[in-house]
Amino acid sequence: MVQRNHTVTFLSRPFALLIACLVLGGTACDRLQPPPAPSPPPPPPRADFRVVEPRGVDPLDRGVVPQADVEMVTAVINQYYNIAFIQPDKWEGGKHLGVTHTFTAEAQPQVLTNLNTLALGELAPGIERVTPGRQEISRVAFFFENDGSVPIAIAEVNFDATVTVKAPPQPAKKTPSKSPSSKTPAAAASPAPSPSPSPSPLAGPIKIVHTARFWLSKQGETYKISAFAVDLKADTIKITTKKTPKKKGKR
Amino acid sequence: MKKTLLLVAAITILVADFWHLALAQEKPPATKKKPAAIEVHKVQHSEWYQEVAGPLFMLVLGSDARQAGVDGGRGRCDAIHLVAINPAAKAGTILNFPRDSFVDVPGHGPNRINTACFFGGPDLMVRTMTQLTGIPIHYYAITEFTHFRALTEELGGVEVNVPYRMNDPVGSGADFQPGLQVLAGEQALRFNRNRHATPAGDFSRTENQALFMLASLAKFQKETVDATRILDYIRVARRHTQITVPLPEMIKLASLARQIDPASMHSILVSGSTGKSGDASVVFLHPTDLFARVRDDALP
Repeated sequence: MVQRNHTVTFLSRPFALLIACLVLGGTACDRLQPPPAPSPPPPPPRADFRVVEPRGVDPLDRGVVPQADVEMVTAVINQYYNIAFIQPDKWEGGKHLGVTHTFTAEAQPQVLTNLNTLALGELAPGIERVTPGRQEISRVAFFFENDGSVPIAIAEVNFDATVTVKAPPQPAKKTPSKSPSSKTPAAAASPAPSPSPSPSPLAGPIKIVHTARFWLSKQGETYKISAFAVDLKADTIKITTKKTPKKKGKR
Repeated sequence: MKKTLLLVAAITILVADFWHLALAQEKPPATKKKPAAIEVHKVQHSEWYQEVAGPLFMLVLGSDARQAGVDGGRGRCDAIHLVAINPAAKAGTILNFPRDSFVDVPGHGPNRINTACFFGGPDLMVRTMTQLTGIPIHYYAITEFTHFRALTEELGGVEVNVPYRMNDPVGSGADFQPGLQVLAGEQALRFNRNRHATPAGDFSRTENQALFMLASLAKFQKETVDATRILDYIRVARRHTQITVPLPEMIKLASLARQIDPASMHSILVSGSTGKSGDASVVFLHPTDLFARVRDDALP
C-alpha cells in the first residue's frame, strides 16, 4: 500500500489548482492590465493680468473710469508678457521679436537693446517653461482730454513666475570593449566619447520678478507702450552636493 | 507529480514577482547633500522715455489779476521766469527777471517788461522776451492769484525752505519764520508776492519765486514714484494754468522732470541797476553774455 505524502494530501488537486490559478492569474492580470490612460496635458500657461486700481484723471472731474480702455490696456499687457516671458513658442531663442509690436514705433528700437530686462532675453534658451504667479496691473490711470477722449495711460505692473530650467545634455555613454586588444574596425572608427559638458550653473526652479511702469499711447483701438521703466530680478539656485566620506571601521 | 510541479511553478512565480517589485523600489544610495545655496542675481533695471528735443525754453508767468481766468486776463505779469532745460545734461537754468525791467515791448515801445501781458497777454510777453534775449521760446504757462491758490491747494502744498524772516503785514501779508514749512493756498501766494520784507525788494521776490518752483519740482519727483501720479499733476496744470505744451509733450517733459536733480537747475537773477524812466522806477538790465550762453545749451 502506497502511503500518501501529507503535503500532497493537504494540497489536494482542486486546492492546488486554485492556488496556482490565483497566483498565476494574479500575476498575469497584472501583466495583462492595460496601462492607465495618460492624464491630458495641462493647458499651456498664458498671461492673465488682473487690474487692481483703474482710475480716470480728468481736469473736468467727470468721474468716469473708461472700462473699454481698461480692457485695451489689459490686452496689450497680456500680449506683451506672453511673448516676453510666458510662452516658449514665442521666445524665438531669446529674440522675442513679436514683443516689438506692443511698442510704439518710436520706442521699438529700445526693445532690442533692452531684451534682458524687458523679456527673458539671454535666459530664454536655457529655460524649459515658465509658470506665472502674480499677474497684476496694480495701478493704471487714464488721462481725459476736455472732449472726453483718452489718449494716454500710465500703468504699474507686477509679474512673478517660477522658471524651470532645461536639463543639461547627458554625456555620451562609452561602450565597454571585451578585451583591450580586440578592437573591431567599427569601434576603431567611432569617435572617442566627448568629455562631459560642464554643468549649467543654473539648476532647479528659478523665481523671476518683473516690475514695470509702462507709459501707453492709444493708437486706434489699441494701446502701445511708448516709454518704460522696468526691473527684472532672477533668483538662481545653485545646488552643490558632496558625498560624506565613509567612516573607516576600527581595527 | 503534476500537482507538485504546479505548486513549484506557483511559488516560483510568486517569488519572482516579489523580487521584481523589490528591485523597482530600490532607493538610490543615500548621500548627504550640502544645503542648496541661493544666489540672487543683481536686479537689472532699464528705462527709456521719449526724448525731449533740446535745449527747450519755456516762459512761466504770474499775472497780478485777481480773478481773470487761467490766461491771466489783462493783468500785469509780476512773475517772469524763463526756464531753460538741457535734456541731455538733465540740467538747466531759470532766468529770473525783475518785473520793472526796462525793455522794448514790440508794438508799444520801451516800457516795463510786465506791461507786455497788459498790452497783449502772454503771446506779447513771449515776443518781448524773444526779442530781448534772442532765445526761442517754445511754450509758456500763466496763471493768476485765484488759480495759483487753488493749484497749490490741490497739490497739497509745497514744502519750502523759507530763507529768512518775512513779515509784511501791509503788502503781501507774508508772515513766515525761516525754515522748512509747507505753503499752500493763501500762504503760498503771500510767499510769492512778498517784496517788502526781503533784502532786495523785487529782486529777492523773483528769486524766491524760483525757489518755490524748485521746491515744487522736488515735491513732484517725490510724489511720482507712483508714475500714475504724473497724470494728476498734468490735470492740475491744465485746470489752473493756461499752458501751451501739448499733452504728448507734457508727458515727455514730466518724465524728464522726474530725472532732473533740482540742485542742477541754476537759478539766476538777471541783474541790473535801478533808475528812472520819466516818473517810473525801472531796472536797466545788464545781462552781459548770459543770454547767449543760455541760448546755446540752456546752461549759464
